[in-house]
Amino acid sequence: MMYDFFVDLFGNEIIAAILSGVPPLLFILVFVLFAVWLERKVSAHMQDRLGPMRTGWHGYLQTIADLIKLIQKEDILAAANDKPLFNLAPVLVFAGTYAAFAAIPFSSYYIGSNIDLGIFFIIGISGLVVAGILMAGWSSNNKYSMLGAMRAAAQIISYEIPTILVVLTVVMITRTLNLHTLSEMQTGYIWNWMIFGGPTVGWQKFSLIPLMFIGFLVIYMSTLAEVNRTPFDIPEAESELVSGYHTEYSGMKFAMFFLAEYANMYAVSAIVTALFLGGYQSPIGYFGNLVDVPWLIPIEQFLWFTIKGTFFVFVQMWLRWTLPRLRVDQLMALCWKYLIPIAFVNLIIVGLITVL
Amino acid sequence: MKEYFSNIWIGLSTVAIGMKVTFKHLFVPAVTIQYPSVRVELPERERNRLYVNMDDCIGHDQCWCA
Repeated sequence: MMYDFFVDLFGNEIIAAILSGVPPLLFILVFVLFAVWLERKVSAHMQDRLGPMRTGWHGYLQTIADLIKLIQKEDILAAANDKPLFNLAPVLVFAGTYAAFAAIPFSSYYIGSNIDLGIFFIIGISGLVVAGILMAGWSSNNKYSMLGAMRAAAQIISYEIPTILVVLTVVMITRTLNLHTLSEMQTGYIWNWMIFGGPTVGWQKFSLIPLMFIGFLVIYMSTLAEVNRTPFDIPEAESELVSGYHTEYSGMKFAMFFLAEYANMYAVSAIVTALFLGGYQSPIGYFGNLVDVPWLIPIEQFLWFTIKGTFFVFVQMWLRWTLPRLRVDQLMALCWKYLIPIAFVNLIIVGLITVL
Repeated sequence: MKEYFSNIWIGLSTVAIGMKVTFKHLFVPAVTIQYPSVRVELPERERNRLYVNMDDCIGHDQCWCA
């Protein structure tokens, strides 16, 4: 653990905590630069376009150019805005997202904070994002922003229920909330991942496989809705709400919302990966074990975790450029009539299997 | 009850069909022509007239460069 290493090195827990909080921030910044570029390229190629091509090889510097542009922009404050809330909202949204990264296990040697309530902490702290979005919509003093914020709050809170029900099914099998232990349980090869029944053996494992696939689909859909991406992007629907709660924002405050959105995409993908697809575990064994170089293993684990997370972010983009936006009633019907009953029945059956 | 499950099936299968279509288009060559560096061959005897609406002109000399 990096935190323990820093405590030994400096003999001071505060310095160690601050230092071990830096890597997620760096990771978020680099990942967002990459993800925005990826989104543009994926959307462009799916529509038979090219996307940004002028800045660097296939436009890979485009995001940096955009960032410089956003820094130069004027920070507009309308007269009717509620100033303290308006300024606090983007920071709060980003803080909620960044705090969720504290408990995400990037590799067996690096996890921001190895707390026993890991997944519980992530779900709890993500609730802060709702407060930030509501603040943004309310303080903008704009009808469309307010509508967008209300929709976002309704959507995020209702989709948290199926997410938590699926998380509970996993937790019932592993009997731990600590994401580090949870990832360690899925060690070995691909058939030890939670989606293939995890560490259970015998008939239980075979009966768990279809249930875990259902759970995986449910949690993927509900987390997609939680990060407000298309097809569930009714809170920021450009064509009906003029992009919702961040209509009134400009410059760096808008960039904060953008950063939080893309960081959130990775955070939920990381949760899905850690719960169902082995976390940082490699599906095919480690190269470090093969050539007997132990320090290679954490680096490989980090690479596997990033690859898996980025793959799910890619699937989110793929879905975005495939499906149209849902209506509000369809969105709520999907959550309350389909995802919650299925997740609940799944929870009960998995509970019975683990008890037997 | 039967309708409920068939709804789920229709939902999931149509999403899969849509995703297959967009995935195919990822590998379709783009139709974009990157204008200043790649130019379409015009007919030899073409006589296009340049036209500037001075109210819309933002003065970036694109027409002069072409």
